[in-house]
Amino acid sequence: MTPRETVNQGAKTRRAFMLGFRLLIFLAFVGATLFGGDALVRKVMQTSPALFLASILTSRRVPTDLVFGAISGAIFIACAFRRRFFCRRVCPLGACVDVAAYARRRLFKRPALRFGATRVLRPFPILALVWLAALLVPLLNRNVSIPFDLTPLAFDPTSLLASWLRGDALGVSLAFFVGCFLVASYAWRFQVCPCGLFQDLLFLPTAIVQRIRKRLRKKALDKAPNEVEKERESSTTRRNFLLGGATCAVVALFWSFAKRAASNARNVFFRPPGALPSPQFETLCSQCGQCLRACPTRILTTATPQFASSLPLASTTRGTPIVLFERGDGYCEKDCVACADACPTGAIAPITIPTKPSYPIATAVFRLDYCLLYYQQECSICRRECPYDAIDFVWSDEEYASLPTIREEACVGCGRCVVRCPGAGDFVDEEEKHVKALSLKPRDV
Amino acid sequence: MFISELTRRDMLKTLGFGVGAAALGIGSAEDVARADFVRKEDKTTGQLLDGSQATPCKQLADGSIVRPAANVPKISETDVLVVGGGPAGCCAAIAAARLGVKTTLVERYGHFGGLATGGLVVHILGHWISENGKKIQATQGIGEEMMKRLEGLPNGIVNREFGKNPTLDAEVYKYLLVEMITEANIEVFLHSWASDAIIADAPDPKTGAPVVRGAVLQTKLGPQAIIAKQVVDTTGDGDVFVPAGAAHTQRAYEIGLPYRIGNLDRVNPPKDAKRPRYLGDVTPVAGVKWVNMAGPSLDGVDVKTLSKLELQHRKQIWKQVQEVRNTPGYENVYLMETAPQIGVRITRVIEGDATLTLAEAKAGKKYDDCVGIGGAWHGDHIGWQIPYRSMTPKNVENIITAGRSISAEPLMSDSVRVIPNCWVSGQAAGVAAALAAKSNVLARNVSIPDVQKALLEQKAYLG
Ligand SMILES: Cc1cc2nc3c(=O)[nH]c(=O)nc-3n(C[C@H](O)[C@H](O)[C@H](O)COP(=O)(O)OP(=O)(O)OC[C@H]3O[C@@H](n4cnc5c(N)ncnc54)[C@H](O)[C@@H]3O)c2cc1C
Ligand code: SF4
Ligand code: SF4
Ligand code: SF4
Repeated sequence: MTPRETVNQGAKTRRAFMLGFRLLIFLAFVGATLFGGDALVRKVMQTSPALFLASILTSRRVPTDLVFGAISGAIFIACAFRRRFFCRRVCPLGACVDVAAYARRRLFKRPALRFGATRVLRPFPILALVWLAALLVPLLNRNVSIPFDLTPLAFDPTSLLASWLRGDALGVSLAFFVGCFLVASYAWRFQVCPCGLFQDLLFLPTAIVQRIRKRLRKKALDKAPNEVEKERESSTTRRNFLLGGATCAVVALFWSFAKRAASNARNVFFRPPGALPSPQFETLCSQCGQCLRACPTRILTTATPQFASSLPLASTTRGTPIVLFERGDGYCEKDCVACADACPTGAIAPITIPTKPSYPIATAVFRLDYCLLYYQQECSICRRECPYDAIDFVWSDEEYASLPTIREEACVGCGRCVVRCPGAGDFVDEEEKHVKALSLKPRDV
Repeated sequence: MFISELTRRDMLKTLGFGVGAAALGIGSAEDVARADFVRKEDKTTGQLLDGSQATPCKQLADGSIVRPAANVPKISETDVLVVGGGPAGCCAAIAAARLGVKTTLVERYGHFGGLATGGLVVHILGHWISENGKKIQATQGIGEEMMKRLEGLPNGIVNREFGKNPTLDAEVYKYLLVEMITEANIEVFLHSWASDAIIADAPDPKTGAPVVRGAVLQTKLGPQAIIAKQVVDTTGDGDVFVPAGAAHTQRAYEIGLPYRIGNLDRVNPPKDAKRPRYLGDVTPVAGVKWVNMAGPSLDGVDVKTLSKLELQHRKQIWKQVQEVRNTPGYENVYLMETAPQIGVRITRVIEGDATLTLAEAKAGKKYDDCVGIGGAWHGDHIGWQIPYRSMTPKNVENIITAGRSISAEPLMSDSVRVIPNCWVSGQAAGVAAALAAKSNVLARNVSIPDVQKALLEQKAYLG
């Protein structure tokens, strides 16, 4: 055995050990996501350096949990000195990629496709800069939104994995795993994952220092470049090019679908209380689904392309949480800020129960000709149900009835009156049955 | 034999209701009840009175009007006097009489049932509640007995299926109440308008509060007195507890006038036609619907207001019915009847020893003197405990109230006032009054465990 082989052997054992260890992390994360270990999932998410920074930038607070604030801070700093510290040591998706790559290597006895992006600066992925701009611009300027679906935080590995595991996009997750497994395990890590690229940025100063040192050492040795390596690099570039083309095609296809969906989408929908205004919310929301699971009344759901903002493309909102009152009898509870507490990124501002009324979801509106009172029936449900005393009955000589009115300044759009109101369009027309006397409209319209 | 097996005519005979029975010329020996009512002086020639006994009110020189002091004839002495024969009063009287005390029921009109019959408010709301996601019927006891018996009478009630809100027929219910009240051997004074309270000469030595001893009724023969050990005020407007000096709040609430329309089985609207607005709700009688009315929120004990509203409402009803008739296909619909009694929802509410609040009801507050479970007819269908202390006024002894005037904050009154809740509180008031009369204690001091036990024996539901 040559000394080199011995070193290899040692590295191999170490790698195998690391792999096992990270497989454990991965499984723990999967287990927690599937079996309701919300707190754990949330905490792991907080350790993602990308989310960590974005969250501090918008919510202007350090992650709520002190211990985890410290851990994620430490990871953040570690990333500056150890290349891809988070990717290699913490990230459950990273573990997943590694495991897939390992299995692939074992089965096919071929190394994964590798895109020469590991060396900092040279082919520093342009995408990383795009990501960064896409992340920072809307965070810093309220009026700018990202023109397409690829909000970087939507691709934060921890949240992505959590939302897949919840079954939000089973197809996508399957495709991802197959992709990792068969083709290019590291394409994700080095070309796509915003968190990974973000770590590269963090590591940049150290990388530069290392490179300068290496140069100096190289100069001293003055060694000719290896021909074989050159050869391999050119073929890699070719493959890279092809893959880039394919990606563009897929994105274009998706774009056209999204555009079509946007044209017949519902663009009136509501965000959880305390959600940041539109472009920022979509930017910061990592689509992790934590708020959905935290909400005790289950009124939060992920927006499908059916719900699109008036932004150019439906898909901007896809996967983000919206408040939907039509599914059951849930409404936003007066003494609850669970979604805000759960949100790991600050997309939902850290509101408190006393400050909650200043973060209305919407405003209730009446369709008076569907109200029971309009038909001389007994009802005062909405007034009684409103926890904020926002509904008055006002006598109208003309209609010869006391009809409900809303005090907009008091209504927070909690939806309680809406789900309890028995009035609907079937007074007039069976087909209008689903149209209620009470509904919600956006605050600012 | 159940009276329901008798014919209507036999009923009149048994009760000897008014001159009707005399005019029918039935005079058989077994007609005891009727004989009671026929006095010697009732000859067609009548009796000449010179008017010297009259004691009219006087206008004094300064323009003020005074009533001269006069003796009030006593027409009855009883254990429990229930004033107001609405849903609450009838249950109170029946519950008390079933405990074996002498019970007297006074009503200003010629029928029982109050708003549920005379007011044409026929929709039973709030008798079932949702408890831990399960529907249960909170209204048991006499209220449930009434609904069951209505079911046995033709066209008595519809939508009796569990979890639905039934609708009863006002006339059938009037009849059923006559049945139940006569069965219970209750002394009845109809066409008697309680106008005053009678209090004992000396206040209660312990509390210093006035002690109610009966009520004065305004009748065609002038004021007449009934002396009672215990009084239950179920007039809805506190017509006895207010003159007795009970602390209360006076509220303005919606006053409407429901009505019924007929021939709805003979409508023939063209396809895709818009439904007319004022079609109302189903009743037990085919082709007949009742139309409710909310009306403006005003003072329901002020005759000026009530008079104005009666006129306005009648015009409005006429307009509404014509609107229906002018809808293609609905030409045959007609106005059957307007409620003989204007629909006053809430007026005076006592200041009780305990006051129901919506927040506490929602929070499921428990009372050790719970005498019934009320149910919300509103969206959440919560149930709440009715404490006995919400039925006794703070500062007057021996008067209990039930029905829509028990102590509750405004939003809660809106839940308290519905018919099933009036049945429940009425039965509780009747039981408490009977037990207080029996054991000779102040109404406030009646033994709560005994009341609860007696209520359970009467199949009431206490949670
Ligand atoms: C328009 C309207 C619609 C309603 N809709 C519904 C509904 O859909 N469902 C529902 O469950 N409830 C409804 N309610 C409420 C419900 O009908 C009443 O609150 C309930 O009948 C009250 O019962 P009560 O026995 O307390 O009083 P009442 O029904 O008012 O009974 C009081 C009785 O006392 C008599 N009385 C009053 N003053 C005197 C006096 N001085 N001397 C002697 N007798 C007197 C009256 O004639 C009457 O018979 C409605 C009420 C109104 C007005
Ligand atoms: S505040 Fe609570 S009830 Fe309202 S949306 Fe958030 S989690 Fe749901
Ligand atoms: S949505 Fe309805 S219940 Fe909620 S605050 Fe507004 S009016 Fe009140
Ligand atoms: S709950 Fe609906 S039907 Fe009832 S009063 Fe309010 S708006 Fe009208």
